[in-house]
Amino acid sequence: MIFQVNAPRVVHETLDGETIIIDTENGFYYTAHGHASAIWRALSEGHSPELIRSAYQREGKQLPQPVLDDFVRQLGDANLIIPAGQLLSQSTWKAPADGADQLKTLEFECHEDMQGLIELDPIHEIDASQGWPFQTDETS
Amino acid sequence: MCADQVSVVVPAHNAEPYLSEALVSILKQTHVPDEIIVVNDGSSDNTAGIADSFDEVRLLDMPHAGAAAARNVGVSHASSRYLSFLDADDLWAPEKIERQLEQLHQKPDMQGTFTLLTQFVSPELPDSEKSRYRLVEEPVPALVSGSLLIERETFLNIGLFDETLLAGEFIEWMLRARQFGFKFSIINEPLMFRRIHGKNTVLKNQDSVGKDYLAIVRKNLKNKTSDK
Repeated sequence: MIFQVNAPRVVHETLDGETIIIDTENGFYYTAHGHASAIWRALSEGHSPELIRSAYQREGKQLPQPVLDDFVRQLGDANLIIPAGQLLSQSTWKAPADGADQLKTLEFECHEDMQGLIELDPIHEIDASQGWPFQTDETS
Repeated sequence: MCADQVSVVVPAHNAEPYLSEALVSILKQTHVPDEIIVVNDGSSDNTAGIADSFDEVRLLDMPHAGAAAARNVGVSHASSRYLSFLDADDLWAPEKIERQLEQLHQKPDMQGTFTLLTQFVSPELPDSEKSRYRLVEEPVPALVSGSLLIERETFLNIGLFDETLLAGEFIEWMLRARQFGFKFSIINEPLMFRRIHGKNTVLKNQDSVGKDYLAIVRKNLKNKTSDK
């Protein structure tokens, strides 16, 4: 299965190995570092978990299936990624060569300290085609 | 300067349909503000004419530059001890200012105070459009400019709104306030009402809006790291 970022609800960027992901609907934001950051970018570019795991194997690193599955599940449960309807990327992906050979965890942290501020910011009023703050199923 | 004088700044861009109602909600305050400043942010409709029809309103005109810039212009002209903001499409409950002044007097260790807000769909919308929205019915803490009451000097110590931001300028301001150690209380009553309508400001550059949010969060993380 391949995924895509749940845009425009979710915005993200990676700078200097740190990924920031913001859920503008509920005000939570997330940080990912190291391999978690790299895998987030790979997923957001449309690379499948299977391809990502294979890429790690090519680098001589073990990315256990449960670790990757748990990471993808967390991202999905948080509504940060959604299944992609079509293949987004056909390019190859190269896993980071640095770090431990055995990846036991993927560091991914949720932050709530700006929740009340982001949730009610008027940015949520801007998408006239989608409605605000929520659109009912009848018209979606 | 009298102790409890309040200035209200109302940024208004093409606010003709709702401005009058917003201003009436200010004038109906049980503690009537001493100064109401409407900053006409380059409107192409009759916003200025409506503001000018209220004797109590001081109208300032500026080229369109966004809500942050308009609020900053209003702040620079405000002269009362206390400062408050109301967006031109939102409303206040009549007790809003009075309750907040009481709160600040009762809690002098607080530098500002917010209220709860409730959302409402603008009543003139056709039913077909009203049905598009499923609002959160419970009042929620309104950490937005429209519910803030703060001493003007305190506001200026924190600094003006960042006019370079397309979105999130109040979030960025609040983070600065928190970084400086300022404390805010929240009155547990819905004293502000946010209008949901089909003509809320449409920002055309979604990518830039996302970048602004990310820059603000990154700045917050950097501050948290340096505080440790």
